Amino acid sequence: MDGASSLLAQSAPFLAKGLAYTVALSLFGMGMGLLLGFGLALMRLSPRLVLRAPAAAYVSAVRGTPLLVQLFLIYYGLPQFGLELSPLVAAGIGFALNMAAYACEILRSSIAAVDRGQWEAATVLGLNRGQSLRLIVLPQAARTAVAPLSNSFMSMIKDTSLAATIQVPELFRQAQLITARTFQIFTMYLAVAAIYWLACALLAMGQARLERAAAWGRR
Amino acid sequence: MSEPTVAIRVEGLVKHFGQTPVLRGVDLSVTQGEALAVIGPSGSGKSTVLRCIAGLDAFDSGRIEIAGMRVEARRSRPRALTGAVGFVFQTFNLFPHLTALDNVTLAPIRTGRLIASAARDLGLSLLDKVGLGARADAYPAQLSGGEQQRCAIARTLAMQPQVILFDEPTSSLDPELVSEVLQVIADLAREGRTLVIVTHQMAFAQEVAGRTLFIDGGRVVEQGPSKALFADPRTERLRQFLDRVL
Repeated sequence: MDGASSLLAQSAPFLAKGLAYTVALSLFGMGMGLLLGFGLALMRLSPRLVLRAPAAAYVSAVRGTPLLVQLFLIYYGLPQFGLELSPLVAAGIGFALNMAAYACEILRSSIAAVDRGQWEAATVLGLNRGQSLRLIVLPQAARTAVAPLSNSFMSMIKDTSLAATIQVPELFRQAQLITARTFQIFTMYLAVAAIYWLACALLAMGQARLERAAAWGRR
Repeated sequence: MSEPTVAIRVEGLVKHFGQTPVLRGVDLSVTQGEALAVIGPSGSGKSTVLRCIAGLDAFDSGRIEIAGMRVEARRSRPRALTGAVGFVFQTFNLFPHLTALDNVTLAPIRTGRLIASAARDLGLSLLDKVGLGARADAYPAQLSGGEQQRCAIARTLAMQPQVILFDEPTSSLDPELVSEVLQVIADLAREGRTLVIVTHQMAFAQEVAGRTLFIDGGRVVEQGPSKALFADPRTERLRQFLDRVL
């Protein structure tokens, strides 16, 4: 295993650089995705069709098409209309737009799952709709949303490897470049798999912490 | 004052759920300082009347006045009426993510009535009043049903409502927890607060409410002083109802 360990030692700087891209893409995708997704969720919950319908169409289109195709449309397709994006920007936009659709559905269903009596109690106490949403409904919806959002976040961390196909030098891409030089294919991809796993395991620990924090006296 | 002040006046209240009429012209008035019990079979519309008064349900026609101010069927209410009508739910509807104390202080703080420290003082004294002084930091999930309902009553009192509406406040409680909640409501009546209590507890209605109203089929069928109404029902429908439940 001497060869393997020296290979990993030599590759470490490249893998670290790749990991930085992976983490940055994941965090940006999740952060922006949550923000956009929340806006979309409010649109989908609106009584007005002009808000509801476009949000529903967006969610349907994004969830109904492969992420890889979406990335290609943005990176390879948009230049046809004079919009040339760097690989990282294209990937960031792609992941954020993709996550927005999934986050929308999770947040929409979590908000809808809060008992109607909670809105009513807030209303009769004199809170307005915005206060009721922010102070009463959202904290409870957030609790429901933690587990499915963590699932989506994990999927996205792993899906950032698709950015390799549009030239983003993230973790998986680094592994591809190294294996092309060294032909230590199994070792390299195994190392990369372990890093993704570690990242997801850390995320799962964060999820468990959040769930404990929102136990509110339940066991 | 020559006449007692009217806290709530309802005239000709009509409401349908789809095609089905629920309220077919309900008239009632509640005088300041009285406790009014509302009884009637399930589905008679008694809870719906309460929800219309509180602004939780829209109504089709009729008129509702609270403290002399007319409220519209669907539009949001005048600012002066914020918190004027307290509502205690059958299912408590405490906020599960807040402690008992925070449940009580949230509305006075967020509606700009009280600063946090004053709200805290008020909250603690109200929790004390309903016998929950020692449970201020407990979450609803850590309280029994009776404690939750008493906390919900304290939460309602924190907004200093002019009228408190109780929608079957003990119907989802285990039998042994009913009396502690009824005790708190009886205390409020004794203090001279204006209360409207939809209830299936006939003995309680008779004892605590000065006046009782019997609703059936979306109409007020009979009303009068509680003692007389229970002792000597004038209508056949009330007689049959009382025979069934007593």
